[in-house]
Amino acid sequence: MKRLSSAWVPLLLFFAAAAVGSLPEERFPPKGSWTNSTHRFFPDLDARMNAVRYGRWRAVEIAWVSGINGRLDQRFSSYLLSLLADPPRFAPEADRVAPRFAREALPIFRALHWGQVFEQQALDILAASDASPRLNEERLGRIAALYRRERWSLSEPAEPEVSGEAMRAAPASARILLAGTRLFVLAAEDLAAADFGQQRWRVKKTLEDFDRSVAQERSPEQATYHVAAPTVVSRFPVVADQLDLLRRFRAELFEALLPGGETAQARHERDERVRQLARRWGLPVEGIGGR
Amino acid sequence: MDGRVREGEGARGRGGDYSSPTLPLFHSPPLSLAATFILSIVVAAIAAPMAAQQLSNLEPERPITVEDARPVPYRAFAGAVDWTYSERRDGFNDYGPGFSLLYGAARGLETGAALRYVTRPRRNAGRGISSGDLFLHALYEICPESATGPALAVRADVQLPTGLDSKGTDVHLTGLATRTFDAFRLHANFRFTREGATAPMERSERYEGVAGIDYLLSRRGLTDTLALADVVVRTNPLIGGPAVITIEAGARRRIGSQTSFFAGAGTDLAGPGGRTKVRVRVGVSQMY
Repeated sequence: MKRLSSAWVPLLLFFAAAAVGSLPEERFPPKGSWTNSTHRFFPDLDARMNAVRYGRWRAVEIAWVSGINGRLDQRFSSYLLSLLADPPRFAPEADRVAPRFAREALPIFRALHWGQVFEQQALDILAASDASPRLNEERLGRIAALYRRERWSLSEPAEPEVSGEAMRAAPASARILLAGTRLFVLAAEDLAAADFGQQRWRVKKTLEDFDRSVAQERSPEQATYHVAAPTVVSRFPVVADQLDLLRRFRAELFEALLPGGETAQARHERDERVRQLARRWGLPVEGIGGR
Repeated sequence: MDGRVREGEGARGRGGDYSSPTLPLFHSPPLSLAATFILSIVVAAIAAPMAAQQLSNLEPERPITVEDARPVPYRAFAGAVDWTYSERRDGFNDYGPGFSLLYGAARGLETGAALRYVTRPRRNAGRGISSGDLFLHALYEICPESATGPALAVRADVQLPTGLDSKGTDVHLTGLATRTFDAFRLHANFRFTREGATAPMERSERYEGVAGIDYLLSRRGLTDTLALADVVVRTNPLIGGPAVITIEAGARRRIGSQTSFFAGAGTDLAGPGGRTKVRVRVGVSQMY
């Protein structure tokens, strides 16, 4: 009995350590029968979306470390095109694709990740085999409510959108990423505007158009739900607004990362810009700061 | 939780009590173990795939000892089943299935249960290897990785004496650290074990240190295949016995949105006479 009592001492130490403090983690994404519907029913679409997801995270990691410039644009756009030519089957583990960004800008990383989860789930709901306008509305309402309850969800800043300087600094990569964002928007519109039988034909056409015009120049507005997905906007305005906010947040982040962080001074300035971005978007600033 | 099949940890034998009642498993032919394993794989494989795979979320013994300092996400379930074969230098080989369930009970807090069976339970009990003990654990993330420091976590396991020849409840306390460097991560685990009941020649307090690495294998930077390796040093369960040194290597690969296949192998470089010549483990894990 005495021995057994002493065996519990480590447990007390464990709980003491646990009480030291914690940073809130993201929760596991909400689950439902619709989960992974895009992967199951539209594997070609899902694979291209995975390539775009990899591209986004890789772009953020490169921009965080080296900034955005023409020198890296060529190499990165080639990488993106090679990913799209043989797209991955599964979505990336974000913190392995962008490890430095994940640990040095944790709140921004989690906001982007939680946004990606929300975007993926919205598409899965629309792609579900039992999808109907009523069910979609109910399910999307639920995930939107859960999204907003997270500490890492985005709230709209008062200031208008900034200029597209980052796009001009790396035009080739920006065009491909913008085409990728537009693919998500058009796919949502295809899935929302058609029944299960018609969806695959519309998605097939969208994919063919995407493959043909991935490097075509477009304005950022063409990749917004409010321009390219009228059905989604009319039926699910809250979700469309939130996803457009996510696109805008990503664009503003790239603007903030434009000069990069190769020197100590540059890192200091970059960190300050990213903190300002976090404040504007209602995110915590603790945990933002490079070495 | 790791090391239940290995000699030198989770010592349950207390000298191998031959008059102890035997588990039904002891009398079962090997075919029933294989059937259990195959059935478990089938069940795992037909489960509906879900979102957000956690290939990098390492669990001890899936497939090697090292664990990362990261709990499963809040409200996530993860289940794993594996099969292990150990060839020993004294020729008394063993094999059997292992099972585990994890749940993200709160943000940063993982809870779980695990169970492993091995053949030759009486002999393995004498070697200090449990068969059928239930492990319950909680893993708490103290802090995630930051610009300056590694991810840190603590883990507490309670090992209940539900297996053959088991006596006393053991407690394991583990400190875990993980640091990422581009495509690879380094891990360090340090474990203290307090045995609830021991035989006269057995240590009641034991230590284990693990240094491990994992590496993304894809040249395109995909996160679908992970290679792992580690070195484990632990105290011998017997007083005066030599320390046990093990090296292991393995891989985890996504085979579904939520499903991973894993395989690993290891060998004891130093230790007592009946130490493992080679240990092979294969299995699948699924996150819900």
